[in-house]
Amino acid sequence: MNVERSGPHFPPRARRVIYLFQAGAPSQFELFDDKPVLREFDGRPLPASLTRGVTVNDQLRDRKLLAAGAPFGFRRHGDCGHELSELLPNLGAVADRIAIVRSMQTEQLNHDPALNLMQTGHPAAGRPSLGAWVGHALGSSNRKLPAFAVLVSRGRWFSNPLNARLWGSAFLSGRHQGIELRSGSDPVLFLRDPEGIAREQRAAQLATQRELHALHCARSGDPECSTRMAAQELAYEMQASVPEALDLTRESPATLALYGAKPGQSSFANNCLMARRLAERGVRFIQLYHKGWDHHYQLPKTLTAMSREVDRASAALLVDLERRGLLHDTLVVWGGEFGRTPMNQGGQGGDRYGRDHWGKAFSVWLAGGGVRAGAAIGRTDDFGFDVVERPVPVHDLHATMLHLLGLDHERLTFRHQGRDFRLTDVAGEVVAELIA
Amino acid sequence: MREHGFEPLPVADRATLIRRVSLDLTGLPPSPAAVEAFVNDTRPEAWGRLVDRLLASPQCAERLAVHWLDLARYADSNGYLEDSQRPGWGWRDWVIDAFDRNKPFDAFTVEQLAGDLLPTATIAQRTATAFLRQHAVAVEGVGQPGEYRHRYVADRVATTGAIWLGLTVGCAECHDHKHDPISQREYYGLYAFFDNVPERGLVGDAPVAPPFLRLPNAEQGAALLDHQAAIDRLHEELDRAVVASREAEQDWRRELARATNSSASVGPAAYFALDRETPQARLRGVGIADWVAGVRGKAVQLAGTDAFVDCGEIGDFGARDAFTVSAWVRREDKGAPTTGTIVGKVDEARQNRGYTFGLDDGRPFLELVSARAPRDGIYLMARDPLPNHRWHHVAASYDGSKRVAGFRLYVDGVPVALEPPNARARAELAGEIDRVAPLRIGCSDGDPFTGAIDEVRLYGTVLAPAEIAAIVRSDLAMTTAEGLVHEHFVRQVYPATASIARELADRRAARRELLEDVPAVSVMAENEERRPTHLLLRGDFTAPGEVVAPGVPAVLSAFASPDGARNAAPNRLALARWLVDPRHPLVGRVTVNRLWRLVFGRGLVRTPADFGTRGDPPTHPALLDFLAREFVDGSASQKAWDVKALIKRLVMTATYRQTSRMSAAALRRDPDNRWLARANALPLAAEFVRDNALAIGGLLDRRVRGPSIRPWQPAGVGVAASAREGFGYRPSPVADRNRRGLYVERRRSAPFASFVMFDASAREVCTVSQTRTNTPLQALVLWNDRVHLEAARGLARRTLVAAGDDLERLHFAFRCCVARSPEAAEIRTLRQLLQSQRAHYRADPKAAAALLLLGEERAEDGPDIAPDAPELAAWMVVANSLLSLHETITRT
Repeated sequence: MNVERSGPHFPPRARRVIYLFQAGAPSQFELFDDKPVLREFDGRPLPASLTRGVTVNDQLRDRKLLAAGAPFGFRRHGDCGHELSELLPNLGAVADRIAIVRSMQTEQLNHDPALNLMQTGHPAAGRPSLGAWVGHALGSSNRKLPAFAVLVSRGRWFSNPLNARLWGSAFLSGRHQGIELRSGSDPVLFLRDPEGIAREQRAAQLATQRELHALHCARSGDPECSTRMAAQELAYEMQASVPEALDLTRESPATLALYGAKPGQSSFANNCLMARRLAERGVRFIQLYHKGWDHHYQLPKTLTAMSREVDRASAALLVDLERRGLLHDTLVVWGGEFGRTPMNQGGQGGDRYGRDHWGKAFSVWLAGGGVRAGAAIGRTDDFGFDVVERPVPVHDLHATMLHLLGLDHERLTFRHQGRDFRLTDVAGEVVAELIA
Repeated sequence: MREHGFEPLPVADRATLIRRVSLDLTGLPPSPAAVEAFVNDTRPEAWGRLVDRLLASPQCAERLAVHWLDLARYADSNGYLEDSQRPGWGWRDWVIDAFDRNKPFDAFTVEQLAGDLLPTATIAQRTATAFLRQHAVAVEGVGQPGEYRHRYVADRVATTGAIWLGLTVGCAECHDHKHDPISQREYYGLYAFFDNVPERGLVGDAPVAPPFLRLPNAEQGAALLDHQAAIDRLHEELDRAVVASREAEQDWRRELARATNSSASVGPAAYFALDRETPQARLRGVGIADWVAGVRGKAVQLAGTDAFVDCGEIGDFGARDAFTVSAWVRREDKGAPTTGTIVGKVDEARQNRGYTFGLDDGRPFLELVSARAPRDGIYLMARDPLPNHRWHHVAASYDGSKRVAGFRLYVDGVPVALEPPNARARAELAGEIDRVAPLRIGCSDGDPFTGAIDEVRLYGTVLAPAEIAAIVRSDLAMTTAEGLVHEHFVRQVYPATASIARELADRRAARRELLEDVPAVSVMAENEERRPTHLLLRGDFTAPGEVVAPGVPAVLSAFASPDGARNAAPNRLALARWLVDPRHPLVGRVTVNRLWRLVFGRGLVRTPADFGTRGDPPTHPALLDFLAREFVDGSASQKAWDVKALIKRLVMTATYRQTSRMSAAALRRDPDNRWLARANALPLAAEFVRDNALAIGGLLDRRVRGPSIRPWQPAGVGVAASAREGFGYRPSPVADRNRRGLYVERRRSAPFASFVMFDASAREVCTVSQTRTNTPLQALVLWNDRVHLEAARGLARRTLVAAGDDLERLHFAFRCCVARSPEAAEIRTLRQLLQSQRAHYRADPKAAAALLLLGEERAEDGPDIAPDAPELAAWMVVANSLLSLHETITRT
């Protein structure tokens, strides 16, 4: 029997999550993981001792594996001394708030299974997403808003599609699926009443439906009937509360400027600001996706443009959460589905090079609720080819996130088709070094 | 039930009964007239007649098909990242047909799992095997094909295991489990049955994943035969004409040798002989490139990777400049024709500004782009793809007019037939095209060429047709390529052969065009030589272990082994026959349980997809055994494997006809109704919520079978799921939108919005049981989804036509929604709502008009009696509330 959990297993450090997912997979070499040796080798073959027998994607198969150094400067920031790229000046300014993991690993080298693994703990379709698990375990703290909200934006660069299953609930109750909040006048599908039905008419309808439902509940004894009644009341309230929660015109010019947000647009900056507004209102899991990081070619130019927007808004979110007293119990996670190769793919040299998919080593950062700010976890070799210290597989990241939410990943299970399923499948270890 | 201290409840009232059985067996509500007739028919056999009528209706076949499509993970798209269209509805029609004819479940099983292996398999039987190909497939990408293929096979095993065995066999994919009766080796034994398909991991540009079957209708079939006969005949004629042309060819060759070298009025602005790498033509990029024998000397050969020839800052033409591009190309596609650039000058960083001359699905095209989003570009494409593996001369000219009318395309020196304008074809270019990017041969904008390219020339002017023909002639005079001159003479020069060749091309084009409209479904087939199946260590496709022969798990095979198990290789047919062997311990029970669940809402085994050691034991084991035995063996009154007879048997029981009213005490003692001491109140599934509303609104289109439809849904649904701007969801023509939910397009990456909210399966994997939710989002759908508003408007109209005064009308509308008659208190509150709405719209007739229009340009034709807009609008609001009631979307 599956019983809905009504709370954490132990006292939580974080009460909500904002996951700034960078879809397409940003390159760690240009942003987080400086490799001077790789830069020295630029254009030359990587040492055969590294590359022998390595699995690469079709795009690099049967080709010479030539090193690609990053043409960007890195410097140390803050008291913790995080080394960050010149493309992330704003993140640099809040370096002491974040923990960087440079030793993430995934076995999946294709976007679809890698996205699945990162978001559902399994490479194939059919498992609940992170947000759905958290909603299942912890429920909602604001009944007028969805517990699991999804916000999607895209960079100007080509972006791979995102499948709605990434925020699905699979075999968990459909109540736990992520609700995509859209920019514009209809932020939740079907939220807006049609022209010709005014708010007070909906109230009159609701009153009638309430009476009819009360009669039906009494007559039938069907418990779902009263649930339906409550859901309709809530729907009516959501028609007001959701637009209010997403209304960026209520923000001060200074706050808009901090993020680089412009009300009415669809952008990562707007979504970061909306994430803060949703966090304030008790939404449990706020999943952002920013698309457009799949830089196989012309990486410097496109990565620079993407980073500028994302750096500013990501850092602004941390600053804003902190000054509103929300950062200490909001877990913020930033990262993609895998990393990029130390090898050159575009091949044209100069600013035209690109990088293929890479799972042996990549970087993510975390901040807020219970995270050991300033920590730098893991290390890669001189070429960024592989992890040499403290590998962190995807399931470990998930286990750690659940731990910060007060959940034991081994006890958070759901019985389906005769088997107990877990977000972390049969793996996962909490990364103790990440926890304050 | 009695053992557990319950007494059966009284029979439900007759209006509730007919609504219950209609929704259960057809997914549609009964009409008010049908309710009245049944309520007044007090003959003892009335119930049996009603059940028979419903079971015989095509709507029953549709309802059962919905159930089967969830199990079979049917979708209209391929899934994974690209999620391209999949026109697979031919198989859905097969399923509807099978239920409509009440195909016995054993034949239903064998045909879907192994119809292709039946002796003298029919088209329908081969179509049936599309069941095993309904899994998601990856079309292209950077994947490892072996990994995808492994997933397809694993999906077939999981689906077959869940549906027929009621077992989660996939657990053993990676390793043995201590308490699991199926070992990893046995898992791969099952896997081997499904592993021998001539399929690819990445299906590429094929219309659907091979192997596939085209399903033309009668008219299309006749036309295809006609084309084929004509093509065969033309081939023979061509062969004869070629023999007769030998002498003329010798004369022409002598003439060609005398021809002058260059006949263009101006020399080329740039010329690339492509005989070797030069400072002006450098091999760049990463990938495979080679110098091979060409038309004159060498040519560059590219393998569709990222290698290309960089020609530097040359070929600098703007939007106002006239120019001509000429080249020899030889397509070398391995599968379907690909898209690649021959010559391009494109700035990827600046919205792809520039020009591209290339092949699009093998057809020559010229494109000028100023901006990608919003798109500003002009584009023209030839009708026919170039034949594969043959040298052809291609040329394109542009007159600097910024209009597509200023384009010309040539193949082998002759202007070619053009593809009719499509979405990309704008008439005019507004902006500039770029002048900064380097000219590239073989790649630009990420579309690498597959094949060889030679003799590239660029001219800063429009060449006349005669000049282009002269280039071809002069290259032919100098050519070093074997057979090229002969080929050109036959296809282009000699009138008798050239006219046959043109006719052939026209026929081929006509056939190709027809085939685009013919639905195709992926089906099963066997490799001629069995592919050895390896156990995969840790379930990792890169770690093959020992070879495993097809076989069934020992725990199940003790009673019998598949036919031919003693032979070298039992196949899917043997597996299918083993499943429907009357001695099989699981298939009958699992199937009966699933159908029991369909009718009663919950199975006798609560875990319908798990009859294994970890599932729930049955609540009524003897009953399940008895029904399964009867279902499998048949009885005096019932044929073996008769699905509809089983359903009838279930709905004829007193248990089925009990009332669903729950006392608080009974609810406390048996909240799940394990002991069947009441009927279950069940929420309608997503498809039926919509069907029900359409039927109540009098809008339902009852046509059975056919292609999928796209009803209206809010703009922007699925945008996240699209790679570039705009997902391109275009609703079907109004006349097709109100077909049943069964026909609504199921796109895996961007599910139909309202279905998601009512918990429709995402059709990613086999779905045996779906959790049902009760959320605010559902309330919003019922209030505001356009189909529900249209249904409300429809019900309002019906109501005004059907009855006279407010009271009668309220009764009518209420009965349309829930079959039973309203109580006095219900009428009271509805009347209050009606009056308040009437007052509202009388005071604000504009609002009434706006509501009735529902965003349309103009009002539709009114109903038979034309009430004033405020009255209709007030009734529409009442109807909207009635359609939003829990009882309306619940089978009670």
